[in-house]
Amino acid sequence: MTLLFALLLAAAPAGAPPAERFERANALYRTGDFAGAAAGYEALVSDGFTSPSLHLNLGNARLRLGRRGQAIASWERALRLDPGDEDAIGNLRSARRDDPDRALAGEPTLFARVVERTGDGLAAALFLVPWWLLWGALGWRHQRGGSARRAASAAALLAAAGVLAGGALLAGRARDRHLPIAVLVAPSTPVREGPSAALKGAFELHEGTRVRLRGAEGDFVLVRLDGGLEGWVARGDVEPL
Amino acid sequence: MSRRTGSALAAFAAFAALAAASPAAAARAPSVEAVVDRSELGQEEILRLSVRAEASEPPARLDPPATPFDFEIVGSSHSQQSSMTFAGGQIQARHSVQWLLGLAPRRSGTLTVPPFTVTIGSVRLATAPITVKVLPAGKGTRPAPAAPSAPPPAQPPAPAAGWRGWERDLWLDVQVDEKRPWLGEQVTASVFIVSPVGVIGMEGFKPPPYDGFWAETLEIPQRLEPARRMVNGIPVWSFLVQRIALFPTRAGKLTIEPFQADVTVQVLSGNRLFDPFRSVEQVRRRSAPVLLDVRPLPPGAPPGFESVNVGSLSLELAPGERTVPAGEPLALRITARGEGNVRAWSLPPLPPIAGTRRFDPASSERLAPARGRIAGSRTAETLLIPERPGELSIPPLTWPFFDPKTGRYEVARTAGLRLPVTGGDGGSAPPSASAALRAELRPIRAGDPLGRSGPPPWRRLPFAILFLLPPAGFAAVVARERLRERARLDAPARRVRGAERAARRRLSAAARRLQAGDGAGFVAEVERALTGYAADKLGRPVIGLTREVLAATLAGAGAHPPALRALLAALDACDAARFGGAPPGEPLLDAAAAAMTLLEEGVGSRGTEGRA
Repeated sequence: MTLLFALLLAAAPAGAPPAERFERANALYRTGDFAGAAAGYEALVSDGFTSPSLHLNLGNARLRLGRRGQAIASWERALRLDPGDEDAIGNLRSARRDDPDRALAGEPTLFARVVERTGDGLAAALFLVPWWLLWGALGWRHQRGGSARRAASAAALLAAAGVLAGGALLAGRARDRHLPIAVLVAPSTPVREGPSAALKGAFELHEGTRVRLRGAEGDFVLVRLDGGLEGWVARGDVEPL
Repeated sequence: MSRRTGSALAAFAAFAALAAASPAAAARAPSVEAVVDRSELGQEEILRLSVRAEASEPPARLDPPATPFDFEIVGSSHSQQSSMTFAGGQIQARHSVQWLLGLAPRRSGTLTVPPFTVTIGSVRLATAPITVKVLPAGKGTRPAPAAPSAPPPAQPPAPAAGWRGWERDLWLDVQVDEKRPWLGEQVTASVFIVSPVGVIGMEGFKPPPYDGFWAETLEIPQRLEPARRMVNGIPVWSFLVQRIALFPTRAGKLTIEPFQADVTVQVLSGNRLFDPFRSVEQVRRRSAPVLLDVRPLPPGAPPGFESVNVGSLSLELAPGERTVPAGEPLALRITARGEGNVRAWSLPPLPPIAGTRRFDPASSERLAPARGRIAGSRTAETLLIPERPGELSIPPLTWPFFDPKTGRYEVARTAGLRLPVTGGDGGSAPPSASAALRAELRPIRAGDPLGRSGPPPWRRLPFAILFLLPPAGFAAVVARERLRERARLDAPARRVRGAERAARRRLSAAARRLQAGDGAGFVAEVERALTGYAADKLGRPVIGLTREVLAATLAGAGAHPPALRALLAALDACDAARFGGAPPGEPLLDAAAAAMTLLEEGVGSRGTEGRA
């Protein structure tokens, strides 16, 4: 009976409204059909839909299927959309508790953590607000004299500092997109000194470890750990966020 | 200068009253007085010497005798008072300083407090010597310190009366809040350093082995904070060293063995009363043992009771998820909360549940001491794996405990749980996803609106607009202001440049008036065209100028004689038409136009250049 229900749900037309498709995938998950649920969520993602809940649920389904690395990638995506998503944070914390690469991977810098936990919209706002304030203060300064001019100068300086901070944040977010973060999805993968399978692995990374993609060549991508280690891994072993 | 020597208690009291009174002795010569609080004392007691100096300028210093004398100065303090009075139309200041010294006799017998010297400006005044009788130790005028019933060798007793010197009045004090606790009930022991002098540090704190107790640290202050405390009428400093919660593990007589600490204090060195470098001393102190009478738990314990479950407790049973697929792990948490020996609580076991597999429970505690009591929660988490779909039924749990507040046994209960088990993947999840991780998984969410993933905000048009708008607005404001300024500066030149155009417009207007039959208006318009042209070119009004002056001014501006003649002729023709009855007509219009053409040849370019 459950199987029949799952088949009926899975047979839902792809042209149905996305909210309906999402609910169907959730229903599959609740009935224990995690493969069907994951397929439903992944179809929504590949159709260009996104939301923190979609990626959270996809991560849960993937974990239930034993795809821990892919689950971590999904939760990371949920967190990028909503840096305060408690569910995604909790799942990631649990999933990374016994991370074998923790010592090797190193810790991201404070700035990197702030950039990562700041949403794109918030970063843009944190830049634009002082930007407007800066130009407003400059305009005010242009039209005033005496103490008002001094106050406007001080306000402009403060706003300029805010523009610099917001600009750094925005630049960090842009860099994250330019050099995307990825998660290893293979249970373990050798990291080589060059983009060739003939080279012996220098060290090994494991499922769920975060890396930054720095380039690609053939079937290999160059990855860098927060601690500074670099190397080439098979392209299929990582999933960019 | 006046001197007075007193040696009686009454004199001391009178002196103290005088010191507290307003400065009635203003406008007197400098004076120094010394009194002691008694004339007879025991060798272990402290004599209090009060030296008071009054003068019109502040007394600066009190110097003890230069050579050792029969007393040791064990403490000092001073207070200062100033007053202003009006006398004879003048303001007079009066300053008084009072020093209070504690003197410990070095021996018994009739001893003399030698003169102390007070320096007031350039004057040095000395107190008179004071004789007191010092009785041998134990025969003092005040009751001797009460010895504790069984003092340990290294434990100085608390001072029962009077000052006995800092070394004897400094001790480690252990206070307990309950001397007859129940078995397993918390006894809070607080360890203090009690000292009559300043404590600047403590090292080598050694707690006892707590034999017969389960100990939990409640509080260890980051630094020694002094608090004032009276011990038998003597003010002392009290420093909390540690606060411990002790849970007796057996009934009967139990002893909290002595604590030990090396205490560093700062004391006056010898007779150097005002030596800024006071000496630092370190002494070792041990507390007195504290005897407790631990009561056994009363009879009548309910079945399943364990003697470690003592406190004010509650029990809770909670599942990790409300629904669980078959084959998936479900975390069941049994949590006890309350006040008591949290780490020692023995939680009730989960009864066998049919149709499930289970892992060994994992325990965790969270201590949250509150108001000096150990409190918190202890949780036992068991992972259950339902083997088939259906309903998972967990029966209610009971947990007996003893509440020392009421002195009775109580039973904490939980409600039973019924959880639906859905069809799952039969527990066939690959081993890489650990059961524990899946048990901690947050539930999926629904109802979140889906959006389209797109480019980041900074690559969208609104961002570009919001980015460019402020500098563009600023540039617009600046440009507008510059244009306004330029227009303001350029107005005269523009007027010069536009003079001919304005005059031609007026001549056209005059022609229309002529065609309309308005002769007077025609003449007036022609005249306005000519004088307006001249005014614009010269940059000044020309009304009121005589023709000669106008001609001369225009000549100065570059107009050549034929142009001047033509202008004057045209103006004369206007006058003739207006006042002489000459008919207004085209000739006047032509004359005016010709005059302007000629003037433009000379004045036109020069006028513009002059303005520029």
